[in-house]
Amino acid sequence: MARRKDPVSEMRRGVLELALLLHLDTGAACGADVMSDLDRNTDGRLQVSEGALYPALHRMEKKGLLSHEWIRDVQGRKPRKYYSLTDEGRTRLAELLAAWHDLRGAVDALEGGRGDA
Amino acid sequence: MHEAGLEPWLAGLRKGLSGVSGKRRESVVAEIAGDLELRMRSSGVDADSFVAGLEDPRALGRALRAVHGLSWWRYVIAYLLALPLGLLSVPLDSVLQWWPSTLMLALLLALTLRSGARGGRIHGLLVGLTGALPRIIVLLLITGLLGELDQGYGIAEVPGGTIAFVVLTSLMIPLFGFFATGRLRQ
Repeated sequence: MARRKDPVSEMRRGVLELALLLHLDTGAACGADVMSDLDRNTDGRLQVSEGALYPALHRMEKKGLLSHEWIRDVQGRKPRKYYSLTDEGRTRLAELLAAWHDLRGAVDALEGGRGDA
Repeated sequence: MHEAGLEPWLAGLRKGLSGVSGKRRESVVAEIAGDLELRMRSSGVDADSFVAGLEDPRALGRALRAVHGLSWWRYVIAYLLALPLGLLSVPLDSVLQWWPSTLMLALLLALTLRSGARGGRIHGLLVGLTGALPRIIVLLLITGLLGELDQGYGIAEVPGGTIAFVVLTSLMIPLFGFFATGRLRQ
């Protein structure tokens, strides 16, 4: 029997790539920074677990959307992996943002129509 | 060495990543361990409480293996290719001098090394064995067959050097596959 997926989780997963691209467009960040920043900047509305974050980051890197650099930000501590957007990532971000605005416009129009009816 | 409290969780992550090449696996573990250490320090809680709030490390490892490991059909293709390459890499100098067995052996070796590097030690070992065992079996069959024919007609026999070469390379190929993990860049 096919497992039924929670539609809200599916939507969140779909938005994750866009959220990561948007966040990394502001500058390079490691996974820990991405998790805390997404949580803080969205007032806790987009909390990402490590189980969602790392596979997404690695998949995006494999697709060429992200590149990485190991940076030791504190002397004596281990270097951390900082991700940044590639040119391909920026192009993908523009595509996803356009699609997002279209979808949001469509949903807003439907919601508005429902209110008018 | 990472934060001691995180080690059991990281061991679970490594288990979930089994099948991913050693170098890649350790890179993933180092990345996540570094991030967890940072998060743990900023959270101010002790290691046990912090780890208790984390997800199942094996599930995370498996999710990452789906990104970095080989897809199932790539595993199958490696075995399907190793078997005929192993058979075709048996030197047939006594029967077919033109047969490019060395080329087949080189291809089998390349496939085994690649499988080990991409799919992990066990996959490299098994692909090597899939190619190596049929070589020995075919060699034994040819040796026996030619021995039988030789008794009656005295036409040919497999030289001792060829037997030694096949046995030695057949033993080495799975070992190369086992130790190839992390040696080749992905």
